[in-house]
Amino acid sequence: MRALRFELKGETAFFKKPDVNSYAYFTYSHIHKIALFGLLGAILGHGGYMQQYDANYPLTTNRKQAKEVQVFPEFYEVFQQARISIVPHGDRGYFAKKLQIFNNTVGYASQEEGKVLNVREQWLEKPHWTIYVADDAGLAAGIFKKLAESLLQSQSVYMPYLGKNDHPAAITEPALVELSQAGQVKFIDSLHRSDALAYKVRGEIKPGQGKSFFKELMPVALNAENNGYVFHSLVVTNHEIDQASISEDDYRNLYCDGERVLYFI
Amino acid sequence: MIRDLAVGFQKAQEKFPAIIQDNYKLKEGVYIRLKLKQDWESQSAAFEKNHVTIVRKEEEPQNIELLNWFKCRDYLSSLVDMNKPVDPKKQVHSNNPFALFMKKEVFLGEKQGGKYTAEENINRYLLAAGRDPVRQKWLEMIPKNKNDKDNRQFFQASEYAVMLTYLESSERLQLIEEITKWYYSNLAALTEYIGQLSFKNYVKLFFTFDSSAPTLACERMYAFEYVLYTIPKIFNSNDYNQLVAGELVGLPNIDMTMNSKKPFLEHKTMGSQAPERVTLQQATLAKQTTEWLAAAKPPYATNKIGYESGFIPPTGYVPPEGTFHVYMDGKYNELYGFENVPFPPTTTVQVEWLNILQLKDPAGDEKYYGTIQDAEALQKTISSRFFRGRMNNSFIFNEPDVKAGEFTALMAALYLQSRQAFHDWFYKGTTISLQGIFAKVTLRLLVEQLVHVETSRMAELGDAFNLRLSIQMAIDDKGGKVMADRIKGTMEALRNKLVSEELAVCANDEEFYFMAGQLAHYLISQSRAQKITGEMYEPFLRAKNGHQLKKRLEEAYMLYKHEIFSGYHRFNQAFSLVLGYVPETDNQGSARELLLAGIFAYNLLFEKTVKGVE
Repeated sequence: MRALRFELKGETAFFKKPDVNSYAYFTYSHIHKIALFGLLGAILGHGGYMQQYDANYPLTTNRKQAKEVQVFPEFYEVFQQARISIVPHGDRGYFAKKLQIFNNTVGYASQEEGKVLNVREQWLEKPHWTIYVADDAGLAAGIFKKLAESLLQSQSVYMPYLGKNDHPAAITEPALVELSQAGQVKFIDSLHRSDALAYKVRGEIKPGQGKSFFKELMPVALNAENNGYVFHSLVVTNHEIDQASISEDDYRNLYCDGERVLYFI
Repeated sequence: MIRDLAVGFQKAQEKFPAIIQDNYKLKEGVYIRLKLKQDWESQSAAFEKNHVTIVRKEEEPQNIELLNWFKCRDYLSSLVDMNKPVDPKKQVHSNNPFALFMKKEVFLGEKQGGKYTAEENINRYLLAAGRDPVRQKWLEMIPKNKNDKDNRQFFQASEYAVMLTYLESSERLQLIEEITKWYYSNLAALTEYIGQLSFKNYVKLFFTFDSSAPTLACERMYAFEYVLYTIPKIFNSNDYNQLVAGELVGLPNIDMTMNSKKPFLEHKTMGSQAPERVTLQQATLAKQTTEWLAAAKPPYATNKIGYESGFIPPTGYVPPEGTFHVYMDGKYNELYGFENVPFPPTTTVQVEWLNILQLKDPAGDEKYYGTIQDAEALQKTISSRFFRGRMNNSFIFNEPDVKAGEFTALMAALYLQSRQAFHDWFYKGTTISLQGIFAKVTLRLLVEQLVHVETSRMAELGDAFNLRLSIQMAIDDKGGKVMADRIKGTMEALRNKLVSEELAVCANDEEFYFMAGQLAHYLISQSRAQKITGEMYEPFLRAKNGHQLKKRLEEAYMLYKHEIFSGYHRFNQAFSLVLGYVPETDNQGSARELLLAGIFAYNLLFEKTVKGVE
């Protein structure tokens, strides 16, 4: 299978978790599918939530809901079926996080006394992923080609950023690569679903590393009713996989890029 | 986040259904069990068997059975939040007609300027807990949709139908009436009795009754009342409720606010508006997870909770897991810190503390430090050696005070800069954030201590310098190893040159700066001042380049030349080594590090020449 591969990096990143907003905002540990779709959409110039809102509530004297409602933002319409793979780097797939505190003093951000909004955000530091976008039926004709051309020629319509526009994304080493179907796999290097997948009880750890096992409920889709996230737990670990537990479904998503084993989510 | 934590909690709850109750703690106050069918006079004799008094910071009463009875009823009768009361005037803090929680002074009518009498409070409360207000609250949960008239029937098809039937039943109505009557005829006597007890904070009353119908058993009714109260209050606000695929979803109440004074908490252009919507089951689970966390884990501390082992104590083999780092505030149980760390809950940290500067102990033998075996010992050591003991348990949230001559402003700044990185190392076992800053931060801390901290001693700073080099080697094998090897190599080369009879010259900048440091230490130690302070080294550290450094050394020599024997071979060799060399780099970066290493290291000028070699 052909795929587009590129390195995605930045000084900092922030992918807001929607379930907490009282004291501080927290971030997902890795870029998630929806944020990545948004980033790819920005490169191609597709509309986002703002454009969706403008379409649903046209700019008139008082914004009333339009007759034809756009269910999803444009970037999601285009990419929702796309298959991607995210390979985290850092220390065994871990990036340091730090709570950043800053003020929003524009005046209309807070109606409390003083009109100052204190914002606390947990940021990822020096994140770095290798991203693969599969060239398959998940992307409409021409979209993959256009995306590959844009990346290979370092072109982008909107600025790609990591979660919020405070965090510019650096996209380097774009390449079109041919991936092979995975046969026997010992470790999976990318984020993967592990519904059926299990890890060997006395299995190996990737050589030269301390144990690491990451699991988080991450957004994998948007729902049509209110564009809320649909969650699925994703794993990345350096524990050896129990071969017997790999299902047919998993095999359809497993590919190799040289030594690296990828799982397309 | 809560969603991730709930996964582990749910598994634990399936295994130990009483997990919340096991960790539940009663608030301070007097807890009394009352029989609804008897008046106060006839049951006051059995008071001993039907009450407990909870005093803060004292052990819970020994009567486990009674205590658990109260714990169970108390949990079921408590408010979700003081902002979600049943009593609109917030004087009564319980949630159902069978229980009555009031602050002592309100119940006894002792409160200064209290607006209502106890009777008024109770009557208002019982009215609010009655059928119509509760039914109204349930109806308010269902989103209004003109096109869909069936919505009103939503709960009839749900698991809550049985509670709603109970709400409409005549038995409930009758019980509330009986309770109202009981208060009417017994409240005065009860108040008088309670007034004589010694306790603080709360008066909590619980009614019991025997029921002929098993479906209306007392215990079950408390559970039903809990659901009747809780479900309409489980969402933060019912304004955001939606029916999605036959499920009611709404804005969660845990760690979530929608404050009209902060307009951007609402998503202005996104289709979702509210940041998140969860089902009733998820909201309930999140509530229980938070309750368990608040009860089982200490507030204002970073709690490490293994994905599964943190919820269910492991027996035998633990499958691979990461760790949640959770920091909660003690008042509102809000999450102040959360992180999903993909490493096991126990960190293995080991640092071999080597004597790279070849320091000697007072007896003249080479010092030996040993190995630092665990994160706790390491934190203590780093705290005492670099931060003058300021890095205590919750250092990640602390800001040390600046005190001149003891803990300088720069040290405080360095503390703030590096605390997260140290925290990541001690608590998570990753050096990813420490690697880039450790060498810089600790070198500046040592200089600062040398020059500005009055009580610092050279020997201790030398040990700290050794520790610093050892840690550098442990966390980042390349750069740290290089520096340690350079210092070792330089010392060896210089040792030979000092005893050499021929004219020696520095081979490189490293030798120059290291030797300059050694000379500085030697010259300063010639001082007859009562107290030799680190401040005396400042001129050398301030020198911008090799030229200035030589000047400072010459000046120091002029000052102390009367102490130095002119034929002292080692000294003369050393001075000529330094003066005869023009370094390429300025006194910064690794050159400066070697200068400091020279100052702190075992001084070659004091070394005795082994007899027979010369």
